[in-house]
Amino acid sequence: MSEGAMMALTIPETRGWMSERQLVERVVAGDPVAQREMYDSHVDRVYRLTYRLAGDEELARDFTQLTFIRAFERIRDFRHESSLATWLHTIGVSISLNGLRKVKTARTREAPIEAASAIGSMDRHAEPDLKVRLRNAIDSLSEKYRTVFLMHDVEGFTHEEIGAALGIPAGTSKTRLFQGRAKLREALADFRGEWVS
Amino acid sequence: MTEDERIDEMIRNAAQDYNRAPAVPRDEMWTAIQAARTGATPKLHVIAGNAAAPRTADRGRSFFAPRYVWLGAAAAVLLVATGIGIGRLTMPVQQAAINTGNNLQASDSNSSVTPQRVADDNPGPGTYDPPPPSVAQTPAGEIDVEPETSRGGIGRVLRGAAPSGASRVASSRLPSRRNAAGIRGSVDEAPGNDTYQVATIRHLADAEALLTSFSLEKRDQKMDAQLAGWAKGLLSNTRLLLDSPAGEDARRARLLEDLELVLAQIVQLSPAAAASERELIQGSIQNGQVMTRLRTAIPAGPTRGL
Repeated sequence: MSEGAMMALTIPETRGWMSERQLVERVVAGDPVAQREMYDSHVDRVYRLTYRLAGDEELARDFTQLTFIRAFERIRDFRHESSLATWLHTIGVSISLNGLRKVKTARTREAPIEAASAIGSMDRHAEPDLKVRLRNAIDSLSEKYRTVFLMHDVEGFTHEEIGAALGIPAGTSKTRLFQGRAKLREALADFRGEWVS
Repeated sequence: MTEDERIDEMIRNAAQDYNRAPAVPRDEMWTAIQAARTGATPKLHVIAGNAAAPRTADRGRSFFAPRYVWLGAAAAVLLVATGIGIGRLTMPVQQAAINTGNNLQASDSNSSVTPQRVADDNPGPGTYDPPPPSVAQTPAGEIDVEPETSRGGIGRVLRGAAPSGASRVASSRLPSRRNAAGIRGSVDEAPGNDTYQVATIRHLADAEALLTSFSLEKRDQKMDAQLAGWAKGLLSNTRLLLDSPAGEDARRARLLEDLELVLAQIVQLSPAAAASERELIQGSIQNGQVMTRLRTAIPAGPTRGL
């Protein structure tokens, strides 16, 4: 064991200095401290992403837990071809999307898009309705557009990260985002006048 | 900043509240993860793995089963039509009638794309992935490009033969041909591969021609309208191919998916669209290397007349 790795294990302040490669090596070796370090470093973003996709706390927890369970099972297969974060997000997105397909989550909301009354008012009190309309519009997007939109525009992933997570080229991610945004603009066309003014 | 970009920014800001996560239950989740890894039963509130499908999914599966029957019928018609076309073009008329019948018999006996076989093509309980409701049911809230007509030969035959509603089913994406791990198999393993191969190659050649025409600098509104109509038909055929055994090959499926997106953009392009919108589509074609991949997928030699 190198001196740096020994210091990382015994001196709490040095844990943050542990490089990703060293961290993975320690996780593979079964070091519980390293495993918790890996979990603590990435759980927030994984949980936020699964929550965005699932919209349900219990589902998000399950998906997040399954993500790390699978990651620890497969950590020996991690080849550092991408960052550890990207690898974890790939697992998380796959588990979330597969899980959502299996579980029939009710996506009906109070205000379907077509039932929107004439919204031409410039009244800012209409904003709560915008939230509902936007929620319905995002819920109504097909999986491929919704996933890219949430990952890029809401969670801030780059197209390269999205491409790696979904197994698509970055260009396809850009195209799907383009399409998804267009559909949302179309769904919220009633608010166009208010926004543009 | 264009108007659309301003609106996109407003939507982006408003969407920050969409499914915003509460505080992360770090310790509780870590405990559950450790319990699972040590063999204790994890406290999963909802089964979202390889567990048996809940009853609602069973009802959903039976609900979707008739759609697979229509998809199988549509795919069978595709197989028949393409076989007839190949036979008539490559043999004398008198021989074509006899030989086509023989070829179709052989194809049917090997093909798994029959209504009954498709309905039974079930990877088993616990591994079945029903499509999400918003896709299969195509509710009124679904916003998608659903062309009503198709100029392509593949789509015309299907719509002429299939019952009403089948075209919308056929043009929707269904994961019926994925295995339990969601991994597509090789198209070489699919029965009737040659027929789908021919249909796919012809379709890709047509798509290449469309994209080449779209790339021409000198275009007018009339030409744009014609291109949009042409793209509409190709878009419908692309979706049909994706749902057929032709879409089982991973690389080909990826190409068809990227092509689907580009065609959808062309269809949505209004005649009065600004040059920047066309440039965006050109960018999509270039970024995804769609033309290069199309040309690679099309074998050398004449493809017309297939």
